[in-house]
Amino acid sequence: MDQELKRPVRARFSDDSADLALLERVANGDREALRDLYGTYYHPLLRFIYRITGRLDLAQEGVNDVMLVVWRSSRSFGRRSTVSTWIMGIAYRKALKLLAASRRWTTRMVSDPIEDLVERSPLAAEHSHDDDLRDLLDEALRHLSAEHRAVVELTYFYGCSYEEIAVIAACPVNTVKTRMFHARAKLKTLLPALGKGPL
Amino acid sequence: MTEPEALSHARAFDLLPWLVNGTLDATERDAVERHVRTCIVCHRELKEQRQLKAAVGDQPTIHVSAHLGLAELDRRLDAKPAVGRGMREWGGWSAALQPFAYATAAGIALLAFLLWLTPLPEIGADRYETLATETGGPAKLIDVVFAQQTTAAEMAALLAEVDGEIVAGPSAVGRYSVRIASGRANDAQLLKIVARLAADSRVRFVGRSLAELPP
Repeated sequence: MDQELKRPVRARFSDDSADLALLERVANGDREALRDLYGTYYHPLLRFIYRITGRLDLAQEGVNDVMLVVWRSSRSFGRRSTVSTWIMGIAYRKALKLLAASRRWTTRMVSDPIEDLVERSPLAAEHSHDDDLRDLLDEALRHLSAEHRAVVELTYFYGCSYEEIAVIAACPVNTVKTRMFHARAKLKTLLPALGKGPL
Repeated sequence: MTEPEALSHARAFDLLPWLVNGTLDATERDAVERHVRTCIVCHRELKEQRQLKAAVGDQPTIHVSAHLGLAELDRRLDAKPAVGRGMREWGGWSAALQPFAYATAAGIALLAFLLWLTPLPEIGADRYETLATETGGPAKLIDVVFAQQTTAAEMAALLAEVDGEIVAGPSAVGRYSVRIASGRANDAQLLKIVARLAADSRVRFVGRSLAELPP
């Protein structure tokens, strides 16, 4: 079976020197090197774009959009960041574009006020089961803005420094810290169980 | 030796997520840790941030096979040169045909909008190919609409129980096309799977798809 629940792919999913070697080959038109790079980045990119857009079909489309940009722009990679930061930056912009395009056609994404969500959630704060809290976190993350969600995901899942996130999101480091501050505040409202025991 | 300058509470508080993920440089890390030792608010916040990191890291991911996406990427890469040549040839005629081009573009946009309004069952008997569609081997498709509160993790767990894989969706009405693995794809087993999913409160609708993959 191709689709299954797995433990997440961790932040440091690639080795920069190996990525650089592959990217140089990609810049010379080596399709085999692109395939190797694709294999390394497919699942990290799929998760990241899925987390931002909330849709698997958009995530699948987004991964290929990103790798097409990598194929076409590899010669312009200026080594001002690691290869993974550069690729995640492309993914960030693609994900936001895909999300914006999908929102023009649908109102499917949630937009309820946070207070309502907490009140209506079947997973009330007093529930302490791990799965319930994971589900509540999943739902809470959906109620953050895409930019805030990306900062949380890049920090806690991909293990990025605030400087790396600033490069990925193409914004000042203070903006990264501010987004994280607001994301934390919203999550605190949405996850009252946080801090009352182990998740 | 002088004591390093102390961080303000606000600055230390802002940096806690990156203390937790271990990416602060040594100077910042030492300064934040020193502040946390004397600040009850940051001490409590640090504990919460560690729990949050563990919870985010624990969120399961839906994995879809990479080689199918790669095949699609290959198709897109191979298709590009042909499009480029066509566009160059088109360039010489474009000025003369510009008024017609605008009308055609408007027509295509209208058609696309009307197609978008049409729900999924228009698939008919044609093969339904997506990034995640495998070639070869018998398989069956079912349509599933999950309840609104169903999380991605629950969806994945439910589908794992029935050897199902999302190959398309969600549609505008939240419908996913799910391919059942070939080993469980005879009619009797498919009916059992549909019944099993229908009985689950996290599923709002399930039924055999109008479009099934050919053997």
